Amino acid sequence: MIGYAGLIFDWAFVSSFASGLFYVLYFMTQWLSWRRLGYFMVIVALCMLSAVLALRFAAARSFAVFGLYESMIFFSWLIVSIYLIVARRTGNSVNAIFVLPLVAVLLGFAKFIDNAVRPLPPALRSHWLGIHVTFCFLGYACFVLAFCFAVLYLWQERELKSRKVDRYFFRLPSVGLLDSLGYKMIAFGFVFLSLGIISGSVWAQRAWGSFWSWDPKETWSLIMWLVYLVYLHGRLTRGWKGRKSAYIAILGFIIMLFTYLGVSFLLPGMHSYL
Amino acid sequence: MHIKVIGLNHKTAPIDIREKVSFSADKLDRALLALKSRGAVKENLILSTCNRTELYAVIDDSAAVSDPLGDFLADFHGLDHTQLAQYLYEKNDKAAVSHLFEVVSSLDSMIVGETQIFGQVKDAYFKARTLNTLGRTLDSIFEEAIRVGKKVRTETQIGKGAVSTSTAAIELARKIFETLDGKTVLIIGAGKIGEMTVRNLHSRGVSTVLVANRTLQKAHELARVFGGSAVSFDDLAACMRRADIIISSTSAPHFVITRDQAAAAVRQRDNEPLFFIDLGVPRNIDPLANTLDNVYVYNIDDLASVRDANIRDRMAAARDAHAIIDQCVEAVCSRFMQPRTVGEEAR
Repeated sequence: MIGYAGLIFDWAFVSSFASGLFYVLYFMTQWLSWRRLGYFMVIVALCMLSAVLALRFAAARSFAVFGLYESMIFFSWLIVSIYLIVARRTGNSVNAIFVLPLVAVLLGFAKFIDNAVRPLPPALRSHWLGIHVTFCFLGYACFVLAFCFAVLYLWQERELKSRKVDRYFFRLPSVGLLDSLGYKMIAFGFVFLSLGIISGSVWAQRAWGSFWSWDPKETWSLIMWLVYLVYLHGRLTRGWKGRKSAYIAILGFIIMLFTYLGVSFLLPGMHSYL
Repeated sequence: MHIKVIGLNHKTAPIDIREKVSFSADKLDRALLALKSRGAVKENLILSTCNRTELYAVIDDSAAVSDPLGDFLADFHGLDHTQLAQYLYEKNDKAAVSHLFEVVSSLDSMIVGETQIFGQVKDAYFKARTLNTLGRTLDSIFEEAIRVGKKVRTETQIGKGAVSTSTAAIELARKIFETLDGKTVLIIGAGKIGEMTVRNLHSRGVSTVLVANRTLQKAHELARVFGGSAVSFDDLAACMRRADIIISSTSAPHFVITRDQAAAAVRQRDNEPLFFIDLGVPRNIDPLANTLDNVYVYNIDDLASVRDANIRDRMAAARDAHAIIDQCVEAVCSRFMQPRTVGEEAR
């Protein structure tokens, strides 16, 4: 069965790429058929990603996400799921023009990574792994969506400030909605990231006897956590809204990318298996 | 047998003619039945709105009447036939169907893309159906027309975008605030566009209306209309903090609101967005306020450019609509008209 996982993965990549493309075409032309196709393809992508994960979990006999390849699939799966929930709740799918291309890039990247199913090293055989990884990636996924909302916000804000309407002006949601959705995503993401860091350090204490060891991933997670803390603090006490918030959301996203990918490749540490 | 429409609209006839040939609700029943009893008319339907009066019919060509519909329209309203004829247009078969589809899609309306005409065509169709003045041909064509009207509305951008200055302001407000529910609007000075904008905002959920005017009496009068409250010019700064949308249309020779005042207001609002609509000439609000974060300043020209852009979009949408209509006309004509009948029209 696991032999099919690679093939299904390819389909997940193709369908998320197609979905992003269809949503962009819908955004450009406003033809409803493109949007319907985009929606269909994003559902296909979600099903394919679920299938790949299920097959790999079955082969590894554990529900743990382990290794860069698997984490990228799990990450994509979370991004798509949260995107769909937000789109359903707000009735607005504009975010798809950024979210799905990002997912496609992520999966395209994963294509070049070793995808062998490896047994879990004994040090990681713990329930804490699932909890820690799930919370961290839930946080990351929320931050990805917040980043997309921030970019859309800056776009629409520029449209409004320019006082010259073009066709995109009417297709983008209000700055009010984009700003508040970005805020909500970061608020959720912050809670998840905090739980991810806490669960990780509790696990570290139990397994290795220390809560915190200044491993590069830990350090950068802390920096990311502080950036989002500044965002929330500024918003709640100083009324930082709009452009300022959007810039911090983008900064947070860049730091998140570095924490996730940069650290894994450039700065070896105890998180090196991810 | 062939399909025929005659009628007049805002493009062909002035208001004093249009009002003479319109059919009020009580006259309509009588007119439909009277037209049905005319020998040459096999099926008929009357569409009468404030901008147009049109008679649709299936005509029996064997009857030797040259213009049964024109005669009827003149007779019914007691007008001179030849005088009326100069305002009328007449279309047959394919051209008649095409005309109907354009009307129902709001391409022939005074404001292209308006939504009322669709409902009016539907009402006219149901009325004629109830009175049994339709036969197989007109019934199917009008059913198709309603389908076409829906298709054009959903598949093109024909009804999108505000095409007046005051609705353009609403549209902008909705790109700043997700909803207008519970928002507060402050209007400074009085003016026709300003009042209209407040009225539109009020009907779309804005809950509080504050009115500031040099003469408090005037402010009270306007405030009463919207159940709002009047404020004096001296309290302006305090009111600005409460308002989400500020409309200014005074004839003051200097800025009523400076950049610094706008900055202070938005700071006191915890950076909640603030939308200034400056209808004054000379301008009432320092245009530099637009450079502040979360402050948006639109003057009368900016609103006009939004409106004009929308009008251009509707023109573009009208082209898409024509493509849909052409397709549907072909489909209908191949179904309901024998080639012979279409040939006759060409002759």
